[in-house]
Amino acid sequence: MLILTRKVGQTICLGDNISITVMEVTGDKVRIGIEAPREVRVLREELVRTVDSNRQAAGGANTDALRAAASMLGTFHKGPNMQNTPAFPGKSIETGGGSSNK
Amino acid sequence: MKLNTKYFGEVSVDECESLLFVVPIYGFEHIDCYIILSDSSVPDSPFCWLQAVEHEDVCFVLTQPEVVCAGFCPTLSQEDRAVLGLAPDEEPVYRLITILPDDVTKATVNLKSPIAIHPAAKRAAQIILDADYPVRAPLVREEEGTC
Repeated sequence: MLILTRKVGQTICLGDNISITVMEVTGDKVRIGIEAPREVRVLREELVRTVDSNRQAAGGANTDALRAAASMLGTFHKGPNMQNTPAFPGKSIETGGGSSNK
Repeated sequence: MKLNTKYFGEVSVDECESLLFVVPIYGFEHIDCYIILSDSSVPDSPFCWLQAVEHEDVCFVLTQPEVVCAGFCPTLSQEDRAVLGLAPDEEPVYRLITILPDDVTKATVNLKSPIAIHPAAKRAAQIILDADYPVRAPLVREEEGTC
């Protein structure tokens, strides 16, 4: 990895069209300004990883695996926080036993 | 109303139970209305499902954060609090999007980007936290760790 030291107001250029400027440093936070062509996607890395993770999560869950995981975790942390608040929205359904869906 | 679900066929639900996602689930920006389904045959389950109301094929597994992170109570920005409609003395309920492969020991939860829910307002948002939490934290651990 190339590592450069920059001061506030100084810029790094990537190729001919992209520039990255250090705008402000406060404590452990750095504000960065990015100029890039419209077609270049600029995203925070954790957003990209969250999108990947969300897509994978929606890909499918085995309901039997979920039941196994629930019983595996059932003995953990049975504190007050584990209970749903009475106002928690949603619908309670009887999913039945043994049906496996992909 | 009748809701077509990914895993449980047609389920009868009350429309007022649906959650409006004021910040979408990232990668699913076209969906803003979900309903939480919990399994009454597994009492105290730390899991529930988040079924998209108008997209039968989109259903997430959600996990209570306390399973992997006791006392999970992240700090929300003022903007996040405002979009959820939280009063200054209110905290949201959190649930974590879960990746659940057939081998449950490989399951992970996203602590970095939890689903924050304001139950009374029926509003929800996926929040990307500033704090340094993992996107893929193991659901099942050999020993209880701190997060």
